[in-house]
Parts: sequence; structure tokens; C-alpha cells
Amino acid sequence: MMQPPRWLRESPFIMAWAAAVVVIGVVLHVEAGWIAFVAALPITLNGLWSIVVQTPVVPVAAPVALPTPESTVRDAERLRQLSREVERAASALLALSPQQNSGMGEQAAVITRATRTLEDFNEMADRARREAVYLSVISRQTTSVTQSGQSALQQAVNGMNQMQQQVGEMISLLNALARHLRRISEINAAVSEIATQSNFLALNAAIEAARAGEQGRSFAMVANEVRMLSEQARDAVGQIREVLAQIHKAMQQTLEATAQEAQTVEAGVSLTQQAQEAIERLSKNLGESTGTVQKIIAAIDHQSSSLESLVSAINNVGQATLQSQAGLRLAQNVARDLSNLSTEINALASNTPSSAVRMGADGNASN
Amino acid sequence: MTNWEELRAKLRETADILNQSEHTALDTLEQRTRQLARTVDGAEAAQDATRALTFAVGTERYAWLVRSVSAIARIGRVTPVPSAPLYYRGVTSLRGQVLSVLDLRAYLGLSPLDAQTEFMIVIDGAGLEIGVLATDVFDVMNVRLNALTPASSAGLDAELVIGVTVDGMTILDAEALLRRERNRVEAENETR
Repeated sequence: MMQPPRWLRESPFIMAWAAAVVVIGVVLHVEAGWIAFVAALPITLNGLWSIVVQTPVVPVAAPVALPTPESTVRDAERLRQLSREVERAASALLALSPQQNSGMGEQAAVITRATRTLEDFNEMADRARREAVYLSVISRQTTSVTQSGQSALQQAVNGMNQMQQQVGEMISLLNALARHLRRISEINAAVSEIATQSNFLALNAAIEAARAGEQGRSFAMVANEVRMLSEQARDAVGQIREVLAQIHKAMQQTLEATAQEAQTVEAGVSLTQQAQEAIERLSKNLGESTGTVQKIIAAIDHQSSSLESLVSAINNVGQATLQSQAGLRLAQNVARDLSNLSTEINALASNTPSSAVRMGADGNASN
Repeated sequence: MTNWEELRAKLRETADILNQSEHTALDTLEQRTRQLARTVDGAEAAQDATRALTFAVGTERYAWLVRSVSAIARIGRVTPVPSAPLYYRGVTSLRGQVLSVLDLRAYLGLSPLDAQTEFMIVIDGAGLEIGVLATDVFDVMNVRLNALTPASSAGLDAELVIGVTVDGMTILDAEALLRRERNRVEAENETR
């Protein structure tokens, strides 16, 4: 009688093999349906072998003696044993499947979560990128504003320099005025002296005229007129002196105001220069930060593309998991079918040896 | 805001005045000359009218009759003379002539004048010529001798006062003063 190969008959070995394949498959994330199928295959083969090869007792090749009731009983016993083994394997497979199935579910959930997180992350990166681009636009605008500010400040500096020059001119004009004023004062003093002398002369003339008596009468009037003129001159000189004093005072005030203005202009120039320096520093810093922002944008772009490939990889894994789940369901169905088959075989084998004989006769008849 | 237009207009005005002033002055002088060239009306000269020169010694104001005054001058260097009376300041030179200088305040028994006194009125009479110190010299005025009030009202040595005008101006008698001085000097000469 033909025997299945020895390795096939050794069911513990087969079970171990199937379990190992399933475990390796789970570990390696190979499609679970195929693992189950491959794992179940030897068991199924073993059972089938028993049914197909052993049970009919192969009377085909050569006519042999009818099996003894003893041998028939033994064969039925053997068949039952095999069907039990098939049943065991199927139930083991069935027991394994929900476990595997729940593991798969968890895996799918984890992958979904991971995918969502990655998508969130990607969205964040996108936002960051938009912010960075906005920042770079702003800093470009600020650069142009800074440039116009610098040119305005340069104009202010030019204006102030011009003012300084004008103040200098004013001071030199004031100096000239002061010289003229001094000259006029000297002339006025001389005129004052002349007026005093004239007054004296007139008085003396008046006295001479008076002493001359009647003959000096006309001369006395002339002398009187001269004296009056000299007095008028003296008054005029006094007025001029007052006006000159006022001019002098006004000039002093003007000089002080001009000096103050010069100081203010100088302070303005230095302040403007400071502002210019500050803007220059600001502009330099802005240039540097613009460069940094560009680098950040490049980094975000790079990260984004990496994230995209990661997301697609995870999606692939998810897809594979879903397929595995489908495969697993298939394997479950197969196991269930096997179980049914083994029940049927068992039912067949459970018939009495007579039925076994009948069965063998049926088998002969059918052949 | 500065009104530059107004300022410019003022400056232009000033320049015009400066240009005109010369002509104005010349016109005035000519006008006065014409006025002076008029013949003197005889009615103006009253019989008893004479002229007096007003001056100040410190805070006091007095007048000399012009007929006693020979000159008015700024005082030059005064050289003190030893063993002379207090009112006698010393001698000075005027137009090459040596003159005695007298402090009228001290002479009248008032506090003496300070050293900075500027003027000197030269009076002459009784064969003597003396420079009298004056703080200021004012005017030559007309005096009606008939209208003078008596010397007693002046509160001074009556011999030295001619009279007091209606304006309260004391007219001193230069000739009397000079006579006294000559007598004093002669008396001194005799005692030597």
C-alpha cells in the first residue's frame, strides 16, 4: 500500500512547520492569507493523501485479496485518526486566525494614526513654509523701505550741512556788522566832540558879541544860532548813540541765537548720522535674516518631500495590511472548509467495519 | 514766520532817508542863514537889557554878566600853588596866558568841587583875570536889570550878588569878587 512521505505523516512536524511559516509571515508582514494557505497546505495534503491514497486501499494496480475485516477496521481507525488530525490543524488555524486578525486590525489602526499624524505634520510644514515665504516678502519690502529711509536721511544731512554753511556765513556777516557798528560809534563820538566844541565856540562868540556891545548885536545872534545848531547836533549824537546801543543789543541777541542755531544744527547732524548708522545696521541684519528665511524655506521643502515619500510608504504598508486581512479571511474560510471536510471524513470513518467493507466495495465499483 | 517783505521794505526806506538827509541838512542851513541875514529890529534892544552867562558849580546854578566874562574853555592842567587859600586851586595856562584857578563853591563856603571839573569861565575886571571852575556852562540869556530882586534873597554874601532873576537865577558880581581878590593879593604883598 502506498504511504504518504514520512515527513507528511509526522503531523507534529507539519504543525510546527505551519506555525513557523505563520509566525515568520506575521513578523515579516507577508500576506497572511498566503501564509495560512501555505501552512495549511501540508495538513490538507496529509489528510487528502490519507483519504485518496490510503482509504481506497488501491485495488486498481492489481487485484488483491479483499481486505480482511481486521484490516478494514484498522484502516477506519487510521482514517478517524487522520480526520482528527485534520480537525486539529483546522481548529489550530481557526484559533490562530482571530489573533492574527486582531493584530492586523491594530496594525491598520496604528498605520492610520501614523498616516494622520504625518499628514498633520505635513500640513504644519506647509503652514511654516507659507509663513516663511510671507516673512521673506516682508523683509524684502522692509529692505526697500530702509533704502528710501537712508536716502531721506542723506538728504536731511545735506540740508543740515547747507544750514551749517549758512550759519557760518551769517556769523561772518554779523562780524562785519559789528565792525561797521564800531566804526559808526567812533564817528559818532567824534561828531559829539565836534558838537561840544561848537557849543563852546558859540558861547565864546556870544560873549565876545555881548562885550562888543551894540556893534556885536548881529554877531551875537549868529553866535546864538551856531550854539543852537551845536546843541541840536549834540541831541542828534545822543539819539544816534541810543540807536547804536539798541543795534548792538540786537546784534548780540542775533549772535547768540545764531550760535544756538549752529549748536542745534550740529546736534541734528550728529543725531541724523546716528540714525543713518542704525538703519545701516538694521539693513545688514535684515539681509542676514532674509538669507536665513530662505534657508528655512529650503529646509522645509526638503522635509516636505521626505514626509511625502514617508506617507506614501506608510500608505503602501496600509494597503498591504488590508490585503493581508483579506487573505486571512480567505485562509479562515479554507480552514472552516477543512474542518467541515474532516467532520465529514470522520462521519464516514465512524461507520462500522461493515460499512467500511461496503465503502471499499463501493470504491471498487466506482473504480 | 518772519515777514521778509516788510523787513526789506524797511531797509529800502532807511536807504532813502540816508540819501535825503544830506539835502535836508543843507536846506536847513540855508534857511537859517537867510533868517540870520535879516536886519535887526531896533525895538528889540531895550535900554536896561544885558546878557548873562549861566553855569553850574556842582548842584548850584549861577550866572555871570557877560561883560565880565572874557572866555569859556576846557580846563587844562592845573598846577597847585603852595600856601594859597583853600578856594585857590592853582595856576593853568590858556592861550599862552597864565591864569589863577578859583573854586567858586569853596569861595562861597560850600564843599569844594572834585578834581574832574571840566570847564573854566575866565572873568576879568578890576585889572585882574581869573579862571573860575564850572561843572557845566549852559547859555547866554537876556537879563533885565530893573526886574532883578535884591541880593538878600540869595542867602549869600550880599556884596558878591547883583540880584536874582524872576526865574530864581542868582547873578553874581564878578567885578566885586575880582576887586576883593586884588585887595587880598595887594594886602599880602604889603605884609611881605
